Amino acid sequence: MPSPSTWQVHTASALGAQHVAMGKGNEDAVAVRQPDPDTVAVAVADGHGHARHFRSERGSALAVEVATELGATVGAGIPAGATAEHIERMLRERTGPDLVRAWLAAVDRDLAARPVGADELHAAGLTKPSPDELVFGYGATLILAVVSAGWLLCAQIGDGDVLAVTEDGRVLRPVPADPRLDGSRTTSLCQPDAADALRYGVVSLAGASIAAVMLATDGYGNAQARNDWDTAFGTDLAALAAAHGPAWLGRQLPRWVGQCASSDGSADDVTVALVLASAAGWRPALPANPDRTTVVDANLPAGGGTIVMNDHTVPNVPPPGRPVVIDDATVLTPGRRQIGDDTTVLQSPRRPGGDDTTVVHSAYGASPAAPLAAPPVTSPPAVVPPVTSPPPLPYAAPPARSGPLSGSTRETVLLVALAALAAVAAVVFVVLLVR
Amino acid sequence: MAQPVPNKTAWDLTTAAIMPGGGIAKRPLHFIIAADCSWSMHGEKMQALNYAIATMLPRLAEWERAQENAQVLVRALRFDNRASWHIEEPTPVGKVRWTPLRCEERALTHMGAALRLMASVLTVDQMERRALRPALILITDGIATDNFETGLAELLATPGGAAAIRVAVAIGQDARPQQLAKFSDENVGVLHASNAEDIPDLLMAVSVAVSRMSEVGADKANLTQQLRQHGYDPTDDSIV
Repeated sequence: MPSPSTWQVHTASALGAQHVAMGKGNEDAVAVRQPDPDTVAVAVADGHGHARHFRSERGSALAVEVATELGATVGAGIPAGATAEHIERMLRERTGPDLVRAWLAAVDRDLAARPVGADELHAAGLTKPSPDELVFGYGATLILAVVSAGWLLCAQIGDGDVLAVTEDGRVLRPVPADPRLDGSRTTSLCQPDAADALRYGVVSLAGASIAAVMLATDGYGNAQARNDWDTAFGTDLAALAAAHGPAWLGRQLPRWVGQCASSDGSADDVTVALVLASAAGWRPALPANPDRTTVVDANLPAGGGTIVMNDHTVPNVPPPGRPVVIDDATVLTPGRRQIGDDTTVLQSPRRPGGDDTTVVHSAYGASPAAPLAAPPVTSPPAVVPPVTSPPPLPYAAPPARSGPLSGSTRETVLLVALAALAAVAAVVFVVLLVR
Repeated sequence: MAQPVPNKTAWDLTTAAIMPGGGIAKRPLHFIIAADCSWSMHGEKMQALNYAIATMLPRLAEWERAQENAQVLVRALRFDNRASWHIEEPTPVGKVRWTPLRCEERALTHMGAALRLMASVLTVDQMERRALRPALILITDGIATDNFETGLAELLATPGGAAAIRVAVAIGQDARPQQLAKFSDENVGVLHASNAEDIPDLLMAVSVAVSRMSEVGADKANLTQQLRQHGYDPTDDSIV
C-alpha cells in the first residue's frame, strides 16, 4: 500500500477544437486545495454548452471553488474509526446538500456583483429571466474527490469520469453510474433537485492499494476510441508510472489533455486532475496498451536512418525492430506496415516553448492527410470491405426541369429530392442536438 | 523546419502508450439508411433512389469534413420479404461506394423486420458509449406487410434507437403517413413528395442550410422549423 502521507496533484485543461471553431471559451474548471500534506481536495467541473447556460464558465469555476473548500474541511474532519458507511452517510446527508447550497449562494453573489447584461440575455434567448433561469445560466457538472486519513471520498453530479487506479493497474469507479446520463443529457448543479442527483463513493485506500485518482470532464472519455478505455487507462498508467515515475506523468498530462481536446479526439473542452501517491509502489500487471496504428514516412534502411514525421525529422534512428525514442514522452516501436487509404499523419499539439513534435496517428477517426508512399510489401487491412470497380451506374440523373413534368418524371424527381433531403436533413438535426 | 524527404519508404509504427487509454478518435455518428426494395419500388423509383443516395453521400462527406467532433459512419439495409444489410459494417462516409439496390420480383414490404435489424446494432453492446445520437432514415413507398409495431417497439427499446434522429420518407401516395409518423422524430415528421415544382429549389435550400449549420451562431431552431416545412429562404438573415 502506498503511504498516503504525500500526494502529488497534476492538473491540465484544454479548450476544445469545436469551441475554438465556434469562438467560445473553455467552460471547464479545475481547483485543488491541499490544507496539509495528508489531505487533498480536488474538483473538476464542466459548464454546459447550450446558449441558455450563458454563464456556465462562471458556474463551473464557482463549483470547483466551493467544492474544494468544502472538501478540504470534510477531509480534515473524518473521525478516527469511521467506517465507509458512516462516511458515505455523512456525504449524502450533509456534504452534498451543503455543496449545492454553497454553489447557489456563490451564484447569487456572482449575479449581484456582475448583473446580467442585455447582450447576455439576448444571446440566451431570454427577456425577463426568472430566478431559476438565472441559476440555469450557470449550469455545470461537478466531480469532487477528497483524499484524507486513508480514505478517498467522491461526490459527482453529471457526466465525466472519476477513476481510482491501484498499484497494479486495476481500475475502480468509486461513484456509481447514473442511468440518466445517456450521452446527450446530464444532471447538473442548476437543476432544482441537484442535491438528490449527487452520487457518492467512499474507498479505503489501505484496503484497495489506490495509487492514483483521476478526475476528468467528459471530453476525455469521449475522446477515447475504446469502450473499455477506463480499464486500459489503469493498465497504461501503471506501466507508464513504473517506467517513468509519477513526475513524468504530470509533465505529460497537458499533452494528453490537448490531444483529447483536439479534432482528433472529442473536440470538447477537456480537464483532468491526476492525484498520485508519491510513495506508490507501481507494479503493473500488464504492459501498456499500444496506441492504435501509427504511421510515419520513414527512411529506415537495414542500418537505420531518418524518420520524417510531417515536418519533424528524427535523425539517427536505429534499425527496424528497435524502439525509437523521439523525446521523453514518445517512444515509437516499429510495427506492421499498414499503408493505404486509411493511414494518415497527424500532428500533435505544439508544446509551449518547444519544437513541434509530430506524433502520428492513424486512428480510425483520423482526418484526411497527404497520401504516403506505397509500402513495398503487404497489403493494408481495409477498414472498408474492398470495393471492386463500381459498375456502370444503372440509374440516371433525373431530367432537368424544363416545362411540365410527366407523371413518371415528376415521381422520379420527387424520389431523388426526397431521398437526398431526408438524409441531409437528418444530419442537420443531429447537428442541432449535438451542439 | 525540416521538409519531408521525397521517395522514402513508408513505415507503419505503433506508439508505446502516447497516453493512457488506448488511443483517441473522433466521436462516431451512426447513419443508417433503410430502403424499401419491394416490387412496388421497381423501375424508375429504385433508379431514382439509388441516384439520390449516391449523390447524397459526397455531400454528407463534405459536411463531415467541416465538423470538428464527428465521424459519420454509414450503414444501409434493404427490406422486402425480409431485411438484410446492404452495407453491414459502419463505414466512414467518405469511403462508401454505393452499390445500387435492386428490387425482388413481387417482394413485399417487411418494414418491421427492417426496424428490428436497425435495433440490433443500436443496443448498449453494439454502440460506442461515446457515440453521438444516430441518424436513421426510413424510405418507403408502401405500407408494412409485416408487424410494424413490434419492430418499432424493438427499435425504440434500444438506447440508440430511442435517442436517434429518425426521419421517414414517404414516396408517392401509397405510403401510410400515420404509420411512418410513429417512426419519425416528432420534431421532424414524415417527409412527403407533394410539390414537384418546388423540389429543385428545396434541395438547393437544404444544401445551403446544411453548410450554414456549421457556422457559428446559426439559428438552429429556425432552421429546423424551416426544414420541417419543406421550405427555406436563403435570404433569411436570421441564420447567421
